Amino acid sequence: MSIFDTLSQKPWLPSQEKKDNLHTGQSFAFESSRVALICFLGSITALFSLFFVAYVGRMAYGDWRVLPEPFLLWINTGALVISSILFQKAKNLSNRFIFDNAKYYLLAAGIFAILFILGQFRVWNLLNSYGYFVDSNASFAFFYMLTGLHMVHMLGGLVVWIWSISQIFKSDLSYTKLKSTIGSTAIYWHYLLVVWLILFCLLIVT
Amino acid sequence: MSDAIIPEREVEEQELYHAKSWWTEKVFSQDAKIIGIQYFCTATAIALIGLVLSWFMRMQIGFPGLSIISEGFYYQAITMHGMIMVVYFLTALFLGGFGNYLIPLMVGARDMVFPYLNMISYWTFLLACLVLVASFFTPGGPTGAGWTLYPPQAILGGTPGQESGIILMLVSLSIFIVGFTMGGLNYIVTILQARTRGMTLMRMPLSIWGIFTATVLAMFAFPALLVSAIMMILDKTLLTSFFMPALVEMGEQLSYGGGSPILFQHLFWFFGHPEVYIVALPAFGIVSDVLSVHSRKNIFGYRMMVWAIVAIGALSFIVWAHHMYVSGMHPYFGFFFATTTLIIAVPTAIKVYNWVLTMWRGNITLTVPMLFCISFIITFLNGGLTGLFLGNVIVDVPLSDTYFVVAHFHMVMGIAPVQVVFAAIYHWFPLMTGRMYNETLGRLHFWFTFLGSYLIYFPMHYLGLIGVPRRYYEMGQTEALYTQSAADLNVFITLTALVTGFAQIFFFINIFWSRKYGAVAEKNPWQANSLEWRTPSMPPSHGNFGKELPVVYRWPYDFNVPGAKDDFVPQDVSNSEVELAEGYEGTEIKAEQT
Repeated sequence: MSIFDTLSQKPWLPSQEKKDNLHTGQSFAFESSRVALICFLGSITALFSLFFVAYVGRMAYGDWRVLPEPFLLWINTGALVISSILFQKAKNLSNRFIFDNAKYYLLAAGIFAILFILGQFRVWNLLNSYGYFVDSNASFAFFYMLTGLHMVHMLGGLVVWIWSISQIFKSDLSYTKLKSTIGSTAIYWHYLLVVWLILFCLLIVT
Repeated sequence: MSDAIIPEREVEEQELYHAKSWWTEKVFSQDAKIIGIQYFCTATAIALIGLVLSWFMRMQIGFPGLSIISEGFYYQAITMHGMIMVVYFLTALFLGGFGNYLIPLMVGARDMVFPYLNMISYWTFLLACLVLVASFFTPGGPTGAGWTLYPPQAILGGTPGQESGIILMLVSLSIFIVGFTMGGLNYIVTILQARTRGMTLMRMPLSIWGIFTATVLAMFAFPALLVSAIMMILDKTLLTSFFMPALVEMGEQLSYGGGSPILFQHLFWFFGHPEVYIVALPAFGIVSDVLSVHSRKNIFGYRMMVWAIVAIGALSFIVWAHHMYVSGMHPYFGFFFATTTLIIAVPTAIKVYNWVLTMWRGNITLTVPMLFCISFIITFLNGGLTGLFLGNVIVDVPLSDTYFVVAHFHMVMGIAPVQVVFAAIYHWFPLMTGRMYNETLGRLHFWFTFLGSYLIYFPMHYLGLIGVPRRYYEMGQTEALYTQSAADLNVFITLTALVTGFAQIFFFINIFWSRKYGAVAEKNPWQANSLEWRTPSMPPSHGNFGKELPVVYRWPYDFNVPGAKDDFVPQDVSNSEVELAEGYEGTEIKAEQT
C-alpha cells in the first residue's frame, strides 16, 4: 500500500468504510522494534549527512590541509568488515534458532568491533604523534570529530551486543526476543559499516 | 457493518507494564499519561522563567532611564527567553505533553510501544532543563548570544556568558535532542504500529496527524542543531575552526582561522525553520479537532487538511535560508527561497480556509476552548500575512532587525501556538482531571490573553515600519530616529505585557482550584467522537481502555449524521448500534456522501 493510496482514501464513504473496518490497525507487518530501528537510522542518516555536507562545505575554504591516511585505517576497515560478516552469520543462525553456534559468531563479531575501536584510538595517537592536532586545521578536526562520533555509535551498538551475549549464554533464554534483538543489531552493525566506508572514502578522496 | 472476519494482527498486543511501588507509579512512571503530565508541568515551569525574563526586557525597553537591568543581563534575558519558549516550552509541551497524553488514547492503544524508553525520554528532558537553568548560577551567567547563537560572537569575549553559559546551553540542547529522539521514536512507532482495529491512518484525528508529522520533522531537523552544537562546542573548548574565522580580539590575534560563520547559519536554520512547523503542526491538528467538536460539524476538507500537513512538513525543509537574506547571499539563492516561502503559504492558507469553513453554518458553542481556537485563527492569520512580507527579499532587507520581525514571529509562533495550548488544556481538562474548569475564570483568562497579546504585538509592527531596531538595550545616539511617539508606544507595550503576564494567574488559579473543587465532569462532556473520551473511567486509568480495546467503525468527525438521534456518533459505535431518530426506524444511517 503506497502512501499516495493511503492519502487519497475518503474515510467518510460507505464503500471505504467497509474496507477500513477490516483494518488491523497496524501499518507494517513486522515488529515495532524494527520500525523504530528504521526511524532511528533515518535520524542518524540526517545527522551524518549534515556532517558530510558541512565537511564538503568547509573544504572549499583556502586553509584546508590534506590529512595523511595511516595504513592502520585499512586494517581497521578490514576488522569492521569481518565484524559485520560475522554478525550476519550470527543473525542467519539465530533466525533458524541455532543459538549454540550463533553465540560464537556473535562473540567474535563483537571482539572485531572492539578491535576496530582500539585501532581507531591508535590512529588518533599516530596522528597526534605526527603533529596533526585537533586544532591545527579544520580537516584534522573533522577527522577526529567524525571518527569519534562513529565510535560513540559503535559503543551504543556494543551495549546491545553485551546484553545479547549475556542472554545467549544463559540456559533459559527468551528465543524470540533474542532473535529479534540480534536481527536488529545486525542491521545497525551493517549501517555503521556503510557510514564508516563513506567516511573513509571521503577521507581518501580529499 | 461488514460481517467479514478481521485479519489477525501480525504482532501480538504487548504486555502492559504494571508499576510495583508508589515511586514507579507516580514518579518514575512508564504510563504515557503521567509522563505527558510530567512534561506539561516541567515545560510550564520553565516557561514561567521565560515569562519573567520577558518582563525584565520589557521594563528595560519601556523605561530605559530606570536601568533596571544591566546591558549584559538584557542580552542574556533575550537569549534565554527565546530558547526556553521555542524549544523547552513549546516543542516539549506539544510533542512531549500532548503527544504522550493523546497518542495512545486517540489511536486506541493501552500505552506507548516502548514505555521504558518513554520514561527515560522525560527524565533526559528534565536534565536538559536543569543544565539550562544551571547556567544562571555559573560565573558569567547564561549566554547572551541571542537565541540563534551565531558564531563568532557567541563564543568571543564581550558576549555575556561566553565563559561557561554558552557551553551549558549547547550541552543542554544536545541532551534535549537525545531525549527527544527517544520520545519521538515512541510517538512514530505507536502511531504506525499500535492503533486499534479499524483505525486506518485516514481515520485518525487531525491532532494525531499533526503530532505525527511534526515528530517526523523533528527527527530530521534536530540532527542539524546537534551537528551545529557539537561543532560549536569543539570550537569553544578545543579551539577548532569549524565556524570561527581568523580574528583579532583586544589587539590579540586568536588561534582561530578559516572557519565559516555562514555554515553555522545554514545548519542552524536547517533546524530552525522546520522547528517553526514542529510547533505549528500539532497546533494545527489540535485546532482542527477542537473546532470541529465545538462547531458540531465535520472538519471541512479532512483529506485536504492531511495533505496540507504533509505538504507543509515537506516544504519546511526547503525554506530555511529566508532567515538569512541579510547574510550576503547570492540574489538567485534569495530568489529561490523567496519562491519556496510563498509556495508554503498555499497549504497553510488552505488550512485557514478550511477552519473557517468548518465553522460556517456550524452549531457553534462559544466555550473557552472554542474562543481560544477562534483567536488562534485570527492571530495566526495576522502573523502569517506578515510572513509573506518578510518572505520577500526586497521587503525583508529594510525590515530585518526591526520590531516588525519581533511582531511577526511572536504572532505566528508565540501567541498563536500558546492559544492552542490553552484551548487544548481547557478542552481536555475534564478528561485529565475528571472535573470541569471554572467558566468565568476561563473567560477572564481568554479576554485578558487575547486582547493583551494583540495590544502587545500589533503596535510593534508600526515600531518596525518606522525603523526601531530590535536587540537594542537603549537607543542612545540613535535617539534622532527614535521618536517620542515610539517611546510612548514602548511604554504602553510594556505595561500591557506586565498586565497580560500577570493575568495568567487566572489560568493557574482555575487549573489548581478546579482539579480539586471543580464540578465533576460528566462522561464525554463535549460530546466528541474520538476515542480518548470513550474510556470506561475519567480520567482514564492505567491501560486506558477496559478489558477489550475499542474497535473503530468510522472517522472521528461524524457530527449531525442524517438519521442519527444524537448529533454525534463516536468512532467506536458501529452503524447497527447507532440510535436512530424518529422516522428513520428500520433503516441504517449512511455516512455523508460528499
